[in-house]
Amino acid sequence: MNTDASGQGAASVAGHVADADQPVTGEAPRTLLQVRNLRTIFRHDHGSLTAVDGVSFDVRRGETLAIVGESGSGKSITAMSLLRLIPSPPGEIVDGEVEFDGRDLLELSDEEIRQIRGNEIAMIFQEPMTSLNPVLNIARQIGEPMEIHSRRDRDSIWKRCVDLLRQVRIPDPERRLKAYPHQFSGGMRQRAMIAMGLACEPKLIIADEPTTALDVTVQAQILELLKDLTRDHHSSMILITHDLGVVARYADRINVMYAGRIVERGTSDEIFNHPRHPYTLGLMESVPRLNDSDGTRLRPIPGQPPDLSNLPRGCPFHPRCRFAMDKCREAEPPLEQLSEEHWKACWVDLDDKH
Amino acid sequence: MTNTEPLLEVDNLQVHFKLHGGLLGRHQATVRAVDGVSFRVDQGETLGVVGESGCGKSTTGLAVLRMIDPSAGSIRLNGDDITLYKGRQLRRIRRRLQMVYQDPFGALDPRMRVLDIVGEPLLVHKLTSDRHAYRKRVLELLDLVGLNPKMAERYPHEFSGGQRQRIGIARALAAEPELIICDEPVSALDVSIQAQIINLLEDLQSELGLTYLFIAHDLAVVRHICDRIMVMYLGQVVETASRDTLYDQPMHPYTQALLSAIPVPDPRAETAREVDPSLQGEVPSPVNPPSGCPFHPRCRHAHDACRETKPPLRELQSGHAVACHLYDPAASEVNAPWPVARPA
Amino acid sequence: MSNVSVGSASVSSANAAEQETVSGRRRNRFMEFVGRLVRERPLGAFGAAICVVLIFTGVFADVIAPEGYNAISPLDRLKAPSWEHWFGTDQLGRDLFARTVHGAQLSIIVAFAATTLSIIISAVIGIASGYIGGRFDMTVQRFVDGWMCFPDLIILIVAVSVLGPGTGQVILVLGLLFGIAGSRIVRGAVLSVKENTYVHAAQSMGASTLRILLRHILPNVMAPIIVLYTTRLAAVILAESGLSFLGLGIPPPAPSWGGMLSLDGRTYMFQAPWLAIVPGLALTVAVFGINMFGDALRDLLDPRMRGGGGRFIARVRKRAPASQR
Repeated sequence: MNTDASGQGAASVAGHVADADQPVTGEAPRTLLQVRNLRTIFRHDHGSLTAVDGVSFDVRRGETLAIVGESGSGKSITAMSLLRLIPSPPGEIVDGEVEFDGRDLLELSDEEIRQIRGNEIAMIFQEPMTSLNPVLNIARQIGEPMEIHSRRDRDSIWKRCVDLLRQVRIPDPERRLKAYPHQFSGGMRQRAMIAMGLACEPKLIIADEPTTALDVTVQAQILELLKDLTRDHHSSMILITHDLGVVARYADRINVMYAGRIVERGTSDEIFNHPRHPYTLGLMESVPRLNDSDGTRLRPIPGQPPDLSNLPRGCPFHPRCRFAMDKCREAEPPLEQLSEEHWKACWVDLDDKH
Repeated sequence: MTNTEPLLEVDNLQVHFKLHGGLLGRHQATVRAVDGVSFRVDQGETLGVVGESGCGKSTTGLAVLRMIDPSAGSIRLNGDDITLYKGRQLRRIRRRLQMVYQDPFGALDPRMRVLDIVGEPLLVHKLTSDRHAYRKRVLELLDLVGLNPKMAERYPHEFSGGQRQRIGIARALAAEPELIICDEPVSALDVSIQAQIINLLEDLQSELGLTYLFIAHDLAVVRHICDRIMVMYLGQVVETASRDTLYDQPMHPYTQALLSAIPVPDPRAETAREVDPSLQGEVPSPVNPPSGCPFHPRCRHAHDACRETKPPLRELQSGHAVACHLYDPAASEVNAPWPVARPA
Repeated sequence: MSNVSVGSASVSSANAAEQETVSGRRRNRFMEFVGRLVRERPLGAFGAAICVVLIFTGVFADVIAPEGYNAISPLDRLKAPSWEHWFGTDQLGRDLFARTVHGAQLSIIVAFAATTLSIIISAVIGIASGYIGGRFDMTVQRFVDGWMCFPDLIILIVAVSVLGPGTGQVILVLGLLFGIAGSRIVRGAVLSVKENTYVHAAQSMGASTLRILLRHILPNVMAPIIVLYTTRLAAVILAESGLSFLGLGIPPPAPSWGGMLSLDGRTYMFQAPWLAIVPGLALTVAVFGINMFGDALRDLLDPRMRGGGGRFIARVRKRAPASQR
């Protein structure tokens, strides 16, 4: 699909190394995670459907990369594929490379990938209600990654747990550690989940809709916390969400996904102020905003979300696209580079139509 | 607003749940889910009810629908006091009140065809004479909500979330209700689909003259569709105002904090946006609410009066009521009303 | 709401076309179902075939084995299987094939009657108790608890000694026994179904309790009820055999498989092993077939399973909306 960034990325490493904030040690690569042509399919009785279809992207050290998409876009499946958490069967990663810190995660043995999960790459899920085990106290759960991945003794694990709870700003950590999940509110549980994710000081945090189940006022607190923590620890974050508002504030770069493909990629500013893919543009226009002038009508994207088992020929977005041309119905557009950081997969030149 | 009788008038509504525990099921505690809420909805308007989880907004909706028995207060629908209706009388009143649900996946019986789902209110209230008229009416309704009438024979699982929500709306319209209660009707939908449903609700309102009670947590959605807005916190109304007033001049510190917490999909506005730093912590449990003003533990303007007495809901300007001691004319030694500002 | 008739012209034309396809669809529904059974659940189809053979044998027992189950022929005692007597003969010279065939008839009568009775009891108790809830549920469930404290066998022995032996008594007792125990399963299903928003929606639109029970609760607990029915069907056949084996069931000379296994089979196990093997095998095959068919039925009757890859799509969809919650 995209004969892309490997060469380009390498070139830009030289150019940007100076402003990366980790020490410049010779060839310290700027990219932490490099995903190339990832394809994940799900088999069923009558064939298979492709949930992630040739996705390539990089995560740089210290950055927050957002993956934005709606249901069926493959954003969560992409994240789960990185850590090989796809239930198999029916799921299967059929193609691609996931290079993390010099290793291809898709080639590792089951034992080796277990060493990476929770240790070097941590995942924070969206459901704080079900992601914690109700019969274990908080200390046991936050300490679990350390029990698995480090040789600390009980005392030092306890100390570390106290420290972690303090970091995620849970008051009175010693007492709270002995509590059980049902004694925590939703926001506190999500904080505990984050503490769990941070326990082994991962290089990469994958946060899958970390605040979707929370109230707005709590959501803001959690996102600020995540942002501060990744900055303090120099870790990278993949933020998966459907909420454009969240992305605008917290992401450095954004991948927009539709029907298992990346359709547009760029910096926050480019995506929000100069969207070049009709889907991205449609998303922006359809979100109700607080600062809308009164009486404006929303401009929804017509039609229904894509049915992965029955995608149209050509560009998968064309049936819902108001700019669709004949070419869109015939051939699928590749992801092509527009400027240094801006990529899109679309035949239409939006600037003409705008 | 006219001086005619409002369509819905709720006065001092209270819903208390008793928690039972122990071996003998003794009464342990009382949850004051809704604690003295009063409001009115006029014919043809949309009243938005907003607040975070546990604020009692959904319980208020269910109490108006008479799915939950109010502990005190009264509910009047077009002049009929429906608070104490029971049995057959209650079932009949439900033709006049319909609900659109949040979860488009759970709200439709998976074993019924769309034809039967949408038409059920017609059968329940015996609104059609024969099968042909019934079928015709259901197909009309599907057409009205933007679904292809040919889909009437299908089952819910064959539809996407947005389409299911349309089916739910068609069902709510079937019995020609006087008031439609929308409980978070778009929050479970995809972003691109939310706008479709909001527009549909607006179109139906102008076409059919519907009246909505619109319950939601998303202030941006509420701004789009509501004429007046009521902000709830821990079972109480903290502020009521017309849409423009509420967004341009929020007065209650909670409303201000709520507005400041909403992310805006625009990176430049976002970097400029200040999240109200005072709003730490979470909504307290309604089992054991704080004394005085329910918001005082999270409020940066809280002073002694807030901890002791509960501020009444006072109408400061026409149609703009606030329950906050900051605006108490008697207690003038306290800070003047705190500056009303919000980055546009 | 008078101006609802937007586009009614186009609607009525769609209407006519629609009705035509519906009647066509209805005609094919059975064949379509059989096709899906064979394609998607081949083992279930095999089970169904066994059930069909079983029912066919039971219904036409008198045609297949016209000499009857009790034609004593002292000269033919304990003959091994042969062309003349396919399954051999027993100690009274009765043809074992004829007895097995008539045994199928007996098993089917007892199984269907007792299972149907038990399912009705389960459904009525379970649905009422689960849906009404509160004190009623509490009272009913304590009664069920009490009932289930007694071992089945004791209840059976007491009932048979009070009512005396006979087919009707066996049906009544088994129906009651399985019915009350099964009400738990139905109640559990009702408790989870009644929490669904669509039940709430039906209540809020003013539907009567009876309507909600029949239109919304019952169809949605049909899956467990069908599974319950088929497993009970098999269990009743086994239980009846067990009772007859113990001499508490259907009295001889009626050819109950269990009785055959016990009275003749055990006594002559070494001289004439076919006396034990044949009814035992008949029992096993019947129970296996019914269970396989029951499982397949449960899967295929769920409308969510209709169409290609239904199960997978359902799973993906389940995940999808969660991301927006």
